[in-house]
Amino acid sequence: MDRGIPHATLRRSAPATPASVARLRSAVADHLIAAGIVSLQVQRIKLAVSEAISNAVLHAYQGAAAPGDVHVAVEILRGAVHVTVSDDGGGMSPRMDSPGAGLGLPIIASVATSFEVSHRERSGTQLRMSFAAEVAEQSA
Amino acid sequence: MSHDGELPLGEPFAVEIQRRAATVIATVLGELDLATASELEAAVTEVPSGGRCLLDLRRLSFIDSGGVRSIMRLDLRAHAEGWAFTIVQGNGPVTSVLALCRVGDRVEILDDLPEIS
Repeated sequence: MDRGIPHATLRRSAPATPASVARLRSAVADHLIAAGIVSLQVQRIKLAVSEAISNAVLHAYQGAAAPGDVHVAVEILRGAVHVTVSDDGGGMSPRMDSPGAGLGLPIIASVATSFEVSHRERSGTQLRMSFAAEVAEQSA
Repeated sequence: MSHDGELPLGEPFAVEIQRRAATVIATVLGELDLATASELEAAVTEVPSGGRCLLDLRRLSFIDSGGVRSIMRLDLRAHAEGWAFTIVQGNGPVTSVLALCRVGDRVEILDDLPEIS
């Protein structure tokens, strides 16, 4: 059900630093709340978005003199929330000294309806996640 | 595409420390993630050997795997330094993430703060 959901796409970018994780996550949550998505689903999407952005912060620009940006886009279409997190970094590669917990993608897999990781055409990695758009009932 | 100047700041993070005999109670507020994990680890200090740390997450509004990792690092310190480590989770939004990451397999989890003698 799309009633009450604005179809405008949210697009935000920020430097791929730890401090940006909460700011981008909050921007996504505010957008979903304004669209009437139920609180529990907002919490699930926040979690997945946080994991995806953290992955970009930890891995996208390793070895770079300064981090580039991480980008987030949110679309609400036909009863689903689609979130894309992307970067302009070096793409996926094996990392034996990973500073992460290795839980990010399993968490995303457990809360998203579907997700897909791909290389972008010019550079970087793109993670696209989809979720059910559960809308709060409006009071009479 | 809008850049970070327009982004919200997120909830402020804080750790409140109380010391009662050999027990350290660390109450965590706000959002625990990649950025704030090191603050939590730095705040939990001077737990005596043979003592106990109670990590009270009942006022935590959000946690992700970066936060879970910091909790697991505290658990490693507890084993290395000889103190007990317990999480108090309550019924807040972090409960499902702790379950998803199977934190309870490694760390004792309580729903409420126990009596401290």
